[in-house]
Amino acid sequence: MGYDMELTALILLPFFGGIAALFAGRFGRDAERWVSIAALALALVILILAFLTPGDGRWIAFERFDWAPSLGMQVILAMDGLSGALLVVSLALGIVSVIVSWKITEHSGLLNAALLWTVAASNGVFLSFDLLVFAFFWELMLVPAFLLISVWGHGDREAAALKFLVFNAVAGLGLLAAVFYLGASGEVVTFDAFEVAERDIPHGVQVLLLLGFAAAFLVKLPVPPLHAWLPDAHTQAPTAGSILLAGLLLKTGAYGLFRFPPMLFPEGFATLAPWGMVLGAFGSIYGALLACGQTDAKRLVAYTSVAHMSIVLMGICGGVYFSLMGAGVEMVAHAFSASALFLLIGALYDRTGTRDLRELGGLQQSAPRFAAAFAVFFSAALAMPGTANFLGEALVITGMFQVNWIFASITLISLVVSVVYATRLFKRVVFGKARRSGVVEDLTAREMGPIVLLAIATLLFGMLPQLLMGALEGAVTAALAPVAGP
Amino acid sequence: MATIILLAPLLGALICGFGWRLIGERAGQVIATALVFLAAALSWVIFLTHDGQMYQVVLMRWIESGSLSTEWAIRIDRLTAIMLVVVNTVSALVHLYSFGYMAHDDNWNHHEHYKARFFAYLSFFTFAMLTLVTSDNLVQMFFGWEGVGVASYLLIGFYYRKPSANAAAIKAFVVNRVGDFGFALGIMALFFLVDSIRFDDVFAAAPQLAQTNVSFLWTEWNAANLIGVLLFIGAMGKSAQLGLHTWLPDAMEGPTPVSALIHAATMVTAGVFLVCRMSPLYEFAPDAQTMIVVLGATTAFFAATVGLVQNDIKRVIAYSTCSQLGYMFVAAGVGVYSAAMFHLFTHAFFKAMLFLGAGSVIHAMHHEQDMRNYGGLWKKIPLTFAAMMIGTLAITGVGIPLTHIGFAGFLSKDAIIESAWVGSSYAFWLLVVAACFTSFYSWRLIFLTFFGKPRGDHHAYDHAHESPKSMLIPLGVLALGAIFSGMVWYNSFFGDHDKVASWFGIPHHEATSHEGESHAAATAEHGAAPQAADEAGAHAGGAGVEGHAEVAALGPIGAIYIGPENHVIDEAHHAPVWVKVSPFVAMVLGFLTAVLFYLVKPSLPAALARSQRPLYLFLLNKWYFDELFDTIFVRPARRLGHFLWKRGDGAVIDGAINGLALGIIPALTRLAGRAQSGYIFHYAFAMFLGIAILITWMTLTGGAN
Repeated sequence: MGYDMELTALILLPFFGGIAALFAGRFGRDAERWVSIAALALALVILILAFLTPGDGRWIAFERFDWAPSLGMQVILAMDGLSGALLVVSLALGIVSVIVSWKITEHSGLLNAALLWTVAASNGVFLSFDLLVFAFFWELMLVPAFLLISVWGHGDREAAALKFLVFNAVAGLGLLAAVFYLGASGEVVTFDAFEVAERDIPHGVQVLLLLGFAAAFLVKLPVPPLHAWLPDAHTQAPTAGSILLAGLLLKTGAYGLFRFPPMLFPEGFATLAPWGMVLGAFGSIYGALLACGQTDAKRLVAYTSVAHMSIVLMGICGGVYFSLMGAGVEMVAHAFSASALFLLIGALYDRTGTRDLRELGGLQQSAPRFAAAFAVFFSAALAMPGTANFLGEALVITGMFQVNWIFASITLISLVVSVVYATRLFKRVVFGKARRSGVVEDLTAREMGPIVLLAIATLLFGMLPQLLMGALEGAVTAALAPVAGP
Repeated sequence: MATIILLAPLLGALICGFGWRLIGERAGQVIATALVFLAAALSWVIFLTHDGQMYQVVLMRWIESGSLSTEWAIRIDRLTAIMLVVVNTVSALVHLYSFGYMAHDDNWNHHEHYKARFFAYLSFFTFAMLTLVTSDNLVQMFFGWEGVGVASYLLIGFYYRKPSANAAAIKAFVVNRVGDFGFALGIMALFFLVDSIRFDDVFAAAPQLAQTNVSFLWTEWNAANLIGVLLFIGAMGKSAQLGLHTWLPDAMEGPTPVSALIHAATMVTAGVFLVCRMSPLYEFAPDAQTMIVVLGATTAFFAATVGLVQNDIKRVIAYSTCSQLGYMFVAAGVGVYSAAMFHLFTHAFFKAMLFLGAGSVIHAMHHEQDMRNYGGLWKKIPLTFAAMMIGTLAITGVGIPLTHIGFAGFLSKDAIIESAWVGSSYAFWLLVVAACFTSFYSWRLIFLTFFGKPRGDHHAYDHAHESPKSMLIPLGVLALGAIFSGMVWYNSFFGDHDKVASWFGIPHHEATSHEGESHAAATAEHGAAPQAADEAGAHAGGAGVEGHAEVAALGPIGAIYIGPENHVIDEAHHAPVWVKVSPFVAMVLGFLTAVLFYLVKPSLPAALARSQRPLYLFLLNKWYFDELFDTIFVRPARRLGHFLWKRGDGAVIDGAINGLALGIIPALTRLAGRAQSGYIFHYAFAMFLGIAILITWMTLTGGAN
């Protein structure tokens, strides 16, 4: 392997971009925003170039260099289709979140820095295969996200931010503990995931370590009953924060589950997977039911995230080709659709000052572009064929059929319930009379850009699924039959 | 050509929906309508020139992943050709009709634009429906299936300022999703067992499915029956069969052209189409067929009884639709798929016409829909009256008994009733009684609307006027269909065996089929069966499937498959005279009762309603299905959601974990020192604590190995 630095650049560019944004404000109006967009766009170009250069079959790009050899620490970065797809999501949503917070002037340098650092840290999570470095990025992610909620949030933002932090930090301890154990338990100290994967770990130890990993991943995902931080964090976060939370941070949990348990602890995973399915089945119904009961539009979408990520969990635990493929597709699809819904609701809140479904309404006549955008992502939320979300959920359920009829049926029921909350949201916001909100100004060009981008992504992967499914093939096969890397 | 038919309405929807601001609302409407007329013309070309042989037009590869391989393809065979004609003809006429009907609408201010949106929705619906009927595999069909659901949702809720319209739209969507639940389960079960979702592969595997057992829920099921039932649940939702029918009457909140297109002629027949399309499977699923017959017949009877007492003109026709769909399912269930398609075909014409005629009446009466406020209208709107009369003659089945001369409904409905006599006496009797009721409520509608003295607002009556040409021309075209479509195509759909077979492109399959059976018998004799079972069991893995014997796959089949044992159609032709005459007698009986009730002694219905009050209320309230479902499903679900939200999520989970997180940890931090700068410190502390615990643990365990 050569010392190409493209993967390192994907992490460092947003990081240093963030530092630059912190100080760019004094060199001109909106300079910090343009710096941020430039850094992310450059990273996106590098990523696309990496996609175009031929990889070795399993990995599109791979980097490894020693960092602190005496402690067994290396930097191992590897990108396959799954991490690649999530990196595209991460950079694209990064750009979207910068554009969305264009009008926020309060500490705008720090704001853009926080957005970029969140992207940088999640990129680190998606790429790292040295477990200690992975855990480092995992924890690092929390800091800028915490800032986003506590500084630029709404309402009771400090409490929400604290809740978010405490939940995830405590759960992160499980990961950290398991990683340290893995690192220290071999003949030589190493955190190289590929080496650890070849070790013969006793079954009981596997189960224990996996519980440590799972704690971190399941809280981040989140799956009930570990989800209590999410509705508050989402509701109080600024729009950009909600976008990165739903689009990025939740995906790191799903990614971790997808990648490491089957690779490192195959037997332990086999033991615990049925419990994961139970949690997933429960969560998919629970999240959907709660979404039906919400009056705050943002909270509603937050609970749908719980439902959809529970379906992802079930797909991963299902452990068969189609369920894993579906989980991968759903991760990407949900990143786009949930972000878009948060964006739309945020834009509506900016105009009307309310997110209460009982007060909104009447977009159809006053703001047709708004209404059309809602229609697209409303279809995605209830997994309408033609959207990537349908593909993901249908594949998960199809795969679950080979594992267990009952879980598959329960997930299908959650899709029935999804109609209730989605139509309710749509009816209350788009149809009906304009209530307190009055006449709403339609989406501006700056808002339309990200929306069109997200809509194209949602529909493109729904109509031409081969684009996405082809990319995920390698990661899915690897999760099916764990083999060591190069 | 098929590609043009499929894509023209989509193009129209896009131009009209997004482009009308550029080209003007009127131009958008015209373009959308013209494109659907083009599709309709081409559909007739395909219908009339089709030789019965199935062919496919592959548009693109779609998914290639694992064992799942799907393409977008158009499948043209006789079933598709019939549906193309039905969908496009009715859709084109409804587009034209909407020019007049939607010209002025009190639901909007005069400066608001709603027409382009309406036409775009109609065209989009047409496209989705065409996707459904031209599909080559189940996933593609599911796309169309959900697409028509969305279009239906948007069109029912078109008057979105009316809360009742919004509620009806959501109800339709949700109830259909319940049906889709079954449909999706069925598709996945098929994919699981057959490893393909292409119709050809599924059909070929049908005999094996009949020999396979699957454990599902609490017991073992025969795979063919299980899948048949699951798919039928999907069909029940779309086609408003008993249990999942509650959305259809409410859907009448949509504009009347929508009711004619979606809720009479096309979308609601999708379920019937599905069952006919899957005929190779249902021929091997006798229990599923029984279920279809029983539910179809019960629905036909139930909906007809409710139709007797409704006062809203559109609801009467809606229940009539529900009832007629039941007829179609009975035909499909007893294995005479061609008769089901025949009735679907004729019904599309006369039911669309009844709806459009009702729309014309409503239009004339300034959006009054209660028949009690009509009366004596035939002088005011004679052309509409003529159309409604033709529609009524067609639906009640007027014709000359024991010949093949009569209105469309006479031929197709009698075909179904004769088939039912062969297949199931339960269905036969219910259908005959329902035919009597059909006749009664249809004539009741005519008498209340057009005869007698005007009973409603005099102002409205005086200003009642005939509709514009754009509304009358569609009525005229459909009238032709309602009169002649039965007589012209009787032999093709329900003639003797050979004619039907060549029309549907059914090859002489009996030889191959018998060969298959003897082959299976031979393998069983040679003791190969247990091995095959073991193999199948091993392949199936943990899901509890047991194969039993190798069965030869079905050879090439036509648009519908009729099993070698299925001679219902021939036996129906040799039904005794009293069977063939019975629907006619029932019809006359219903007509005479209606004459007595509404022309001779108009005081009689009220007196009867008073003396039989419980029965009357039972019917008026539609057998209390809505109330029942509300009590069993809706209210408990709402209460559960609320409970979970307030108690479960709010108090227990949030409370417990908050207590833990926000109570104990700050307490710990206070113990550890002063939490000066607040939150970041918590975090650092937590990490520190974790590392400390870890290092201790690792030291104590000595690094495991």
